Amino acid sequence: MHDENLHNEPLLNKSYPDPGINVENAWADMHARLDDEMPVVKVKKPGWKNWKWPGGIFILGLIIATIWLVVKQKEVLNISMPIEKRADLPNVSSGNNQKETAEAKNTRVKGRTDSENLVKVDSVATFVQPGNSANNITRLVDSNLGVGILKQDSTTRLVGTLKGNGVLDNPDLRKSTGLTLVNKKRNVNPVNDKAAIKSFEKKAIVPIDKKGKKQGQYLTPPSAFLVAGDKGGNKNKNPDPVPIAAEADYFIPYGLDKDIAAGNTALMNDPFSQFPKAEKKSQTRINEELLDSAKKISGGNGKLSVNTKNAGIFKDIHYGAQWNIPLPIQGTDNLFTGASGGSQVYGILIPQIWITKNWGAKHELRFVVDAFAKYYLGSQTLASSTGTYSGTDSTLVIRDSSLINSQGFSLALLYNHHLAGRWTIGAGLQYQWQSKALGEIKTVRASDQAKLSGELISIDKSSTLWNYIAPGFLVGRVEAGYSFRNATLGAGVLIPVTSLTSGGSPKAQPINGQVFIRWRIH
Amino acid sequence: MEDLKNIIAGCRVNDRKSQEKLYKQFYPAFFALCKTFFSDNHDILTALNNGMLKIFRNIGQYDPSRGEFFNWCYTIIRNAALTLVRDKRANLTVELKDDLNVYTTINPFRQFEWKDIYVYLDKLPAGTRAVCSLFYLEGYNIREIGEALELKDGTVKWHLNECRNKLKVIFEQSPIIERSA
Repeated sequence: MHDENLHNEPLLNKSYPDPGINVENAWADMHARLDDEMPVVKVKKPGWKNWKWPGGIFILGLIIATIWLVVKQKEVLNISMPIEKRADLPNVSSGNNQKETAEAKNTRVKGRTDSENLVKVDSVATFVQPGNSANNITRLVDSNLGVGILKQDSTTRLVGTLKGNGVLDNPDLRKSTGLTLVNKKRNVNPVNDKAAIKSFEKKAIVPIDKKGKKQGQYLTPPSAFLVAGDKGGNKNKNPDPVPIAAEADYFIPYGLDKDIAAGNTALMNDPFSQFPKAEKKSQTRINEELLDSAKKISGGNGKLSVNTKNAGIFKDIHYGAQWNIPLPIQGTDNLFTGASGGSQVYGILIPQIWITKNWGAKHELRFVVDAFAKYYLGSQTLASSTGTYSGTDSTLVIRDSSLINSQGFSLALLYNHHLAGRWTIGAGLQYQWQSKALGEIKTVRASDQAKLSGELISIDKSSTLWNYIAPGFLVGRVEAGYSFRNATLGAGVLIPVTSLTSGGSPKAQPINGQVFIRWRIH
Repeated sequence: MEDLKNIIAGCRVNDRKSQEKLYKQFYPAFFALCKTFFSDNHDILTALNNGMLKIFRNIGQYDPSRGEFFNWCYTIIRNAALTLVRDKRANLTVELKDDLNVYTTINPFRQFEWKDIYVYLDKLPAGTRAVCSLFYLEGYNIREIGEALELKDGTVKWHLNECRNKLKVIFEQSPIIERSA
């Protein structure tokens, strides 16, 4: 070259004159030549066919869950209807001065088997766990009979908070194998007071069945927690720990904190007094006690009513955030590299949002939304070609376009089961829409696979390589966690059910793992 | 440049859309390049598309560590144009005169815009035009031009001298040169 400068000019950025031939016409000519000499092998376009099944299954699952929730809601609303409106029930609502004799009421209650499947008191008694003190049983029966509903069958129970003034707050009908009245304040913090727990354990009750045999398990932590009420940990205001059902099909005191706060301490001055030492009683004796208790209803204050506030589908709904830390199952390279090619360590700080609906103390349906879902593939080849390294270097090389990670939006539906203690296991399905991906174009020597060059690229919907990426994929999700106060620490495994790739590229269903911290806001 | 990487990746898998993007992105530059060698649009397009076809066929061999992608393409297009020039070499085989050494002193095109350059190049015979373009616009030396066009050095010099003489006449008659002066 006699003038190197001519070659060092930024040629691409020069201002060139308008070409004499329109670019569209020129491209048409080029296109025709390409079709003749380099025909395109049709790439299977990802479409509805590729994801209709996983997407359909996911949507179907959501629909079934929704229907189930609606049915459940109707059931709850029906049962928790204010008793003033129920003609078949004794009118014991506030302001009602109607009196019944103890004998008359007892007779009426005993014989009640109305069209709405209300059961006899005898039947109710069958499901009340023995071992409770007489007071508790009385009040339990008070709430049942006073409200006049309960017990469709042996698998149903009413839960709620019986306030000191006789109002049953937050009533809710649930599945159960025993009759339980549960303090609904599930989001209060358990008391980490070993002495209190120990004391509580000593007063555990032993439920027995009709034959006098032990039934179920002892009501001991962690089947029940001791909670400090809603005083925000201020022991001076409410120093006594309150036992609350965690798992439970057993009777638990209720509303104690509110009662104490309201000065209604007549019912429960000592929370532990409700848990006398285990005592075996025959079913007959239990029934007798219950019926005796029922008789006391006749002297009721006539103020029992149902408060439907906060009742229904919104009961037992919690929500919060979850942070996931990816486990390097697919390698540590690019673990924190975002789809744009830059470092995105901050990505792990962006939480998933979750909402749960609980049924009983053990069953939980969890819906999770993740706007920053990331999935790792290690290095999944999308397209590959073999050739010489360059025009002057005849080394045989393989050029791969591969997928490293995928980013998008995900929805998940999981069933969580609370085991004994604070352990929880869960399983469900997650569907992730892919919106962007991190890829790599690399050249390796064919003979020994030595990497000669490589560069990261961002793949989005405008990229050609996007044709090789599925619009979304379905993932099976299994997880286990350990709860502590409002937090749950756990680990999960994600197993793809469908491939992350499409368009004729090799299937990609890599397993991912993550450690998570789940925080319950409510 | 992130977008160019994606285009290259697409071209590697023979994706038409990527090829179209690349073609249209580089088209003005490459058309201008080819126009320095040919006056006829058909020849320009032939040279350009020959070169682009080579690019698409061999894009897998492009190694980013060895230079800019545009420069790699530019070289291929220029070589494609030179190939076409050689194929039309009837006007190149002119008898040489080996005493001409004035061609390197001044680049007559440096001060002009593209449209002016084309005006002058269009007034040159095809063979002389190619030699002139390589020498003054592409920076080739005589030996390189000789190798590229398969000409003897003396012939290249003759073309350069011819170019100088013709341009001198043209410049003297042209209003453009007056403005430049």
